[in-house]
Parts: sequence; structure tokens; C-alpha cells
Amino acid sequence: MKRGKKIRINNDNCAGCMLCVLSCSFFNAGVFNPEKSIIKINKNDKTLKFTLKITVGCKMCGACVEACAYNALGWEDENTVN
Amino acid sequence: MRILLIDLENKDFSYIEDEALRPLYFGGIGLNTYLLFKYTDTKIDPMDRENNIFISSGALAGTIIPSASRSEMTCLSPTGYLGTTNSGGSLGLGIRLCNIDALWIKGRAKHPLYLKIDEKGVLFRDATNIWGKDVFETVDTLKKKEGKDAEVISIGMAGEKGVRYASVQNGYYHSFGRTGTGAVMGSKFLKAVCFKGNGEITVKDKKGFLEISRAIRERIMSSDSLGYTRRYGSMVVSDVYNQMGILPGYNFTKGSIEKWEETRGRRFFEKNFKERDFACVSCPIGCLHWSRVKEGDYAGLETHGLEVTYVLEFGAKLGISDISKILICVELCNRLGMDVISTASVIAYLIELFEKDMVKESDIGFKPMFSDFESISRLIFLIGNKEGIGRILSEGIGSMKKYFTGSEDFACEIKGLEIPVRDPRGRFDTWILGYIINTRGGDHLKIRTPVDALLDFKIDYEYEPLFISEKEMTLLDIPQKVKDKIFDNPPTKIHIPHMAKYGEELLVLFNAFGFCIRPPVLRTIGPSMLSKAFNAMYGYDLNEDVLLEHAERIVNMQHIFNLKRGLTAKAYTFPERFYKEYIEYRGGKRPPLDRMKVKKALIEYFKLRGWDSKAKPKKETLHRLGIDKII
Repeated sequence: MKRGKKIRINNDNCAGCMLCVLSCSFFNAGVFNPEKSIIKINKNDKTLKFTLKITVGCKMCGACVEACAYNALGWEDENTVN
Repeated sequence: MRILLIDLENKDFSYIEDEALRPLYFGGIGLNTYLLFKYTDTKIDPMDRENNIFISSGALAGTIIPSASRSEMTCLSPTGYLGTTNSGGSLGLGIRLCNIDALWIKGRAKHPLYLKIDEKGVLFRDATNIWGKDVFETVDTLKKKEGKDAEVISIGMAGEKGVRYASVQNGYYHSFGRTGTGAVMGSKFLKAVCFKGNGEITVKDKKGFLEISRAIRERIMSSDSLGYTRRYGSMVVSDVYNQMGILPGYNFTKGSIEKWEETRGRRFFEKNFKERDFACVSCPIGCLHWSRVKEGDYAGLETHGLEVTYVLEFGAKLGISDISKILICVELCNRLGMDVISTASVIAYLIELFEKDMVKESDIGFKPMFSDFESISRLIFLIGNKEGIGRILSEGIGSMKKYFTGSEDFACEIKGLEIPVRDPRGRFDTWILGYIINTRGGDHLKIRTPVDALLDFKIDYEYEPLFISEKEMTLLDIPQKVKDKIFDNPPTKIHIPHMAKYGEELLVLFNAFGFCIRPPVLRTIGPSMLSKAFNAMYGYDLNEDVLLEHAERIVNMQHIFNLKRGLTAKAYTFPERFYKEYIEYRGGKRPPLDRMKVKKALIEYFKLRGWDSKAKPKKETLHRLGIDKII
């Protein structure tokens, strides 16, 4: 996948696996802890709906995009750079 | 390893730190087996205050290792033998964020309690106001009080009242389903446990961990089975079971059911109910589904499902044809906190008792009937609340059959645990031999072949056919010396007793490390990948041979625990129905199992395990595995 300038979020596709959250925490803090992740997930455990949000401090490393297996995260096409 | 020891009676807690246990028992069922074996008195009643509950996360849970999020709960089961049960969701992460590997819950509270656990310790909270509430109400209340991100495991009325197959629910929809751990939790006046830690999960070799994580993911995502596993989840086999005539229809009397695909098939489900997919933590497969009922009496109902177990138990074993009504039965079980397999099995057994005039309408208060949602849902409610006939049904088939002389032949349980999902007469293979050798009783989730395929139904008691693609064959992670024993050369068939031994040990490792057993994982990951991930995370240098030897020890410890509880080789058998009766299916009739051939396969398995013909481990086996020192 080509790297872009902005991360696209599609919450309808999110399966709630938290691989983005755990990857972000591991790449940026060296440990697994959702509190240390810059990308956050809001989970409703009863309706199983999930909302992702990238908070302040994102270095655009792309770990979350690489981790997502559900196309809930990707790079914005129009900003794609080589 | 860090084990949080909780004393309910004295409202006290402490931590046990013992790193020597980690490379031997890993986590999950491995660690739980050691703790049960070492610290649980085998002479007690399962409901005694001295029974312990152990909850361990898988060793790799809470990380980015794909599909490794699961946890195990273990105790002396109300079946009388090993009680152990697995669950996914986000609980494994929740446990690890409390900076612990496991919980050991002992004693009995003086009044209903729930526990709030974080990385600093345990708070013992009064649960009087939620005692008597169903699981959904309990989770709602505790999430409101302790925070919506708290991971909550809880029991419903069935656990409180001691239904012997009560589950412990993990959140709203995931379950520690089998072997009645909910009843043991209820006997301790423990309503729920909330995990809300903010600890850190650390890794020794970060670069190596990342590499193995990517390698595991690549293998899982390359599996031929990935696409259909995400699309249909476990429902993928629904149609196949009917076509092959292995449904457990009407208490194992019909292997195929008319219009099955049109009413309970995978495509019918997908078109009419499935809304979207979701996943357990760290899983890239996403085999779980969210469903919505669009029309009929229950239009508007939205819930988790459908899992094939639900449709095989309520749709086939009990004959309910309407998926929306199957979903209601499952939701009732989830709210009351009861294992869906045992619940459906007990009701099927009652209906057959009624049909054979061994139970009267006046004993029940109404007519119980197959395919009849009204009577079946009423029975679920009565069991969960232990009211009326529900009091007897709550004992489970293993106990009930003693009251109903002459019913033993169709009392479908093994070692006190009700038999699930698949009729054994369709094909004798690793799965079916697994029903009788499983250390927790009649069950399909502890012994599996990584090359399972239901494409040939020629019955052979020694070998099952091998049907996987060349690509999948190259992805198989089975040590060569094990392959040499299991397969012929070139591989065309599977030696059932050898595969049963290996498949049992493989699933101990999967469980101990936190892995799920869906086909994309089971077919591509094995001891070599597992050892690399474990070594990178914890800084050990274990190889695949060592892992398998440890798994062999763990299986033996579970078995010895059962022997100490009075289990004998006689229990390793199917109910007489499967040896005496033909089974009807859409292709005609299949003959009953051949008793002598089943026994031959069983004795071969005992031999491979290093046990004698009475299932007693030989001295040299105990010595080789070092169990004689633990005893």
C-alpha cells in the first residue's frame, strides 16, 4: 500500500479487533497498552459498534494502517506520495 | 508468572510470583492445569468452598500476535471431573492490563460479591443489588459503575442457583460455556469480576516479536480457508453437515433435515440475517457476525450470531426451523448464563423421555415437543431459574439418567458432559475419537486435526482421508517426525489415533498461548511458530519438541486428575444409541458404530499416550514426563 499524507478512517468497516491500537502503542511506546496508543477506539460492547479516532501526537508512522485487516484504516488516495 | 490469589472468605488478596512455571505451563489451560492439579483436593464436592477457580490469559494475549486473545477458566467441574472452558473477546487483554497472568479464586464469600481488579489490586464490592439479575442487566450495571471499558465476566440466575452446566459469560455475548464453571462461581457467591487495569504488557525481543507477528499474520491471511471463514464464520459447515448426514437432529435420530439449507443454511443466514462482521481482540479473520431479524414476531432483534453451534443445537438437535427463534433461545441462555450445548441436549433428552412415556405431561405441566419454540423456550427459562421440571433438568444428563431407568441408551453424554453438534455415525475420525478421549468429557473443542476436511465419508476406523491443497500442505506447521507418524508417504490419509494424540497436544498449546482454533489459524500455525512467538515475548529458547513434551505432560496431569476423581476406562465410550441404532440421513441409512473397532482405536490412543489398556499411565510415562515428582 502506498503511503499517503493523511489516514482515512471508515468506522463502518471496523471489526473492533484493536490491532491498530495495540500496534500504535507498541510502535510508539514499546509496550502494549491502549492508553499509550495515539489512535483510540470507542467500543460499544452491547451493540458491537466501534469508532476510531486519531488523537494529537500522531507521527503518521502508518503502523495502524498496516495492522488493519478490515479496510477501516487506509491512506487517503488523493494525498498519496511515492 | 504473576498469579493474583484472591481469598473470598477473608476479602484478602496476594500475588504469587514464580517465573519457573512460565516455560513449563505457559498460560491458559497449561497454567490452570498445573494449579488445579497441585492445589485442588480431588476428594471434595465440586460445590465445596474448597474448590478453586483459575482464570488464565493465554501467554500471547493482549499483543499483536494475530488471533491469540483467548483465556481459560478451570475448576473441578460439577460433572465430577476436569472443568475447563475457553473464551475470546477482549478479556485476555483485560487480564494482562492488570499486570497479572492469572487469577486464583478460593474460598466462599459470606454474601454476594463482585470483584474489581486493576494493576494495583482487588476491591471486594457488595453484589447484593445485582444478585438475581440476568447477565445483560449485570453487565449494564457494572459498566455504568466501573466504567464502560471494564471487562466484565459474570453469572446469571443459572450460576447463582447451581445449574450444573451454568456458564460464565464474558461481556454480553462471549461465554466460558462448557463444564459448569458458572455453578462453581455461584457456589462462591461471586457474581462478577471486573477487570480495569492500566498496566503494560512488555516484550523481551521487540524486533523478533514484530517479525514473528508478521510471519504468523502472513500465514493466516494466506490460508485458503480465510475468505469463507470471514464470510460465514462457523456457519460455513452448516450445509455440509446436512448433506453428509451428520446433524444431531432430534436427539441424534436424524442426520439430515428436510429444507435445512433453505431455512438454516449458510447462504440463507447471510442473505436474511447477517449485518456485519466483527472480531475478537488481535484477530484479522473476523469470523463473528452481528445479525438483525427483519421480519416476523421478533423483527428488530439485533444480536451476536449466528454461530453454527447455535443452529446445530437449537436448529437440529431440537428442530427449531426459524433462525429468529434460535437467536432468542441463545439470548435466553446468554442472559440466564447457561451453556447452549448442554441446555439444548438436556431438553432434547427430556423430549425423548416424554415421547417414550417415561415422563408425563403432568410431571412437566405442558407438552415438550421437538420443533416447538414455545415449549423449548419455557424449558430454558425453567432450567435457568431451577423451577418446576427445571430442577431435575438442571442436574444434566449424566445425573438425570440415573432417575430414568432404561433411558441410558439415548442419554447423549460422555463423562457427564453432553455431546455436541455432530453425529458420530457419519464418519469415524479424529474429531469423533476426540469425543471419548477428551479430558473434559463429550466435547469437540480440545482435540482437532489441523487438516480437517469433511469431503469423504468412507468409514474407516484407523484412517481418515486427507483433503487439503498443495499450498495448504506447505503451510502446515507440523514437525517432520510427527508428520511421519500421522501421514502416509506421500500424504493421502491420516492415522486417527496418532493425529488424536498430536491434535490434543496442539490444542493445549493453542489454548496455553491464547490462540483461536478457526481453520485459517489451525491450518497454518503449529509448534514451530508458537515457540518463536513465545521465545521472543519472554526471552526463552524453547523448541517445538520441548513445547510438545510440555503439552503431553499437561494432558497427562488432566487425565490423572480425572483418575483421582474416580474416572475409569469404562467412561471412554459412546452412549449405546450410537452402537445399536442406524441413523437416517438424506442418502439413506448409516450403520451404528462398530464397538470393537472404536475400542481398537481407543486402545491404540492409550498406547501412544503411554497408558495401559485401563487408561492408567505407566510408571515409565510418569517418570519420562516428570509427573512422578509433582505427585
